[in-house]
Amino acid sequence: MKLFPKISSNKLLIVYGLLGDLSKFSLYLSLALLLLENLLPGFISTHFSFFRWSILLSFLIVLISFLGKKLSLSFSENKFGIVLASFVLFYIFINLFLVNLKFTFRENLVIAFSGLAITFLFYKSFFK
Amino acid sequence: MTFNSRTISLKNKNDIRLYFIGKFLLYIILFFFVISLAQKIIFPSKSFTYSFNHSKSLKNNLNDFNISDNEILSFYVSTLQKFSNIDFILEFKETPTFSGKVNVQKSYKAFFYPEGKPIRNWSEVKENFLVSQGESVYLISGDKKYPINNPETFVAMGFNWKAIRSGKNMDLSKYEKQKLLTIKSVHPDGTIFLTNKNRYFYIENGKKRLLDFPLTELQQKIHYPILVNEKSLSELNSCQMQKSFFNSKKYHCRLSLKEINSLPGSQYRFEVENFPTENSAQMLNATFNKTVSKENLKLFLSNFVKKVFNRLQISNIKT
Repeated sequence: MKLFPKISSNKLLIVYGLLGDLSKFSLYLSLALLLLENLLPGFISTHFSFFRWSILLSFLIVLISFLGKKLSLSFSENKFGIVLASFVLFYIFINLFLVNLKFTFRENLVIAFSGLAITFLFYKSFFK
Repeated sequence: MTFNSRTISLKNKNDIRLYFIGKFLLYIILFFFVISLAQKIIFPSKSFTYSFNHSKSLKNNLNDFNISDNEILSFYVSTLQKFSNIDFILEFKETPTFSGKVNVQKSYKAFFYPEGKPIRNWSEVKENFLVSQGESVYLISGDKKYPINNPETFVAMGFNWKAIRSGKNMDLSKYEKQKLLTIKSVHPDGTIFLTNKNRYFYIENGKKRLLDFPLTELQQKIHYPILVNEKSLSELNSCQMQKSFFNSKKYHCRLSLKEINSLPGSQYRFEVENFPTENSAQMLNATFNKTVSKENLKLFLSNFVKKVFNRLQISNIKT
């Protein structure tokens, strides 16, 4: 039994594309909101529910993967570029630094760099 | 096929057009979503409610409720933020015949106390003082100590940071520990208020008593009084309650805070006149709003910069 009997695959492809755009936007917005929240705890979370937001994001990801499966689409092998990797590492570093502002500057630097090193080791051991 | 929607291959021209129309609409929706989120953060509103059916509910955040014999309902709202106006809603169980008026004043709860006999003898005065111990700050009132729950409460209660004495060489255990002072608390006995007319009032047993001494003597003996404005007692902002167009059981009105915003204090005193004493009210709601304006935007930006500076400074101090 077809789940979308009257919707053509082209239309589903359009929905898939739009959901992809939406997920990209949501990701950028989440990054910005998390950065602000870490900079000033409570600044965002008093007006915005991160819990509900994460449920919506999860639902969006499930929907995209479901549609992708339905349309027999697969993700291309994404090359993790140097620019993207630098951005992710910088983002992690900034966040680690901001959440540990109560420590002294030196302690905070050590924590942030250790966090980065652990992330890198995890990445190496799981994905390489 | 990649995750990126740009590389999705749509061959039909109509489908391509449909995709771009969809994308355009999606971007418009997202634009309004971001704008509304920014508005919520930059120009926030704060809602305070009281349910007459569940008077002990923890969700009730309007405090010191009192209905007097002459049909006046009074209560307090405490907030540190500055707002532009208040939307006031009163809901009844049944359609009432009600023509109430709402008044609001701004200051501190204790300053609204009735005036008692003036004090003419210094032996009657025992001024409160602030003591720090580790990261905690206590307000010492007679033989009692009141812990202050956070810096926001400290500022909201009008205390001066310079007034804090070091408690290193003091035995604070001899003072009886009292309930935590929060933004909703009333200033305890021993508090001294200084008005804009250079009059000093001493708080004692639910009364404010004028300190009847020469000004120079008062200035010498009292170093850190809490600043108030006598306009807080005389200036009332009012609005007439009107029946809601959609719901006959609901009454509402909007109170402007423009005139009283500049007055010192963080506690708003509300009075609802002609309040029906029989048990007919169901819910009361006061929503404090910030209007979208240049002044509010400037205020937000300056507060934001100040908060970021303070937060980053923590690490600098400890370096």
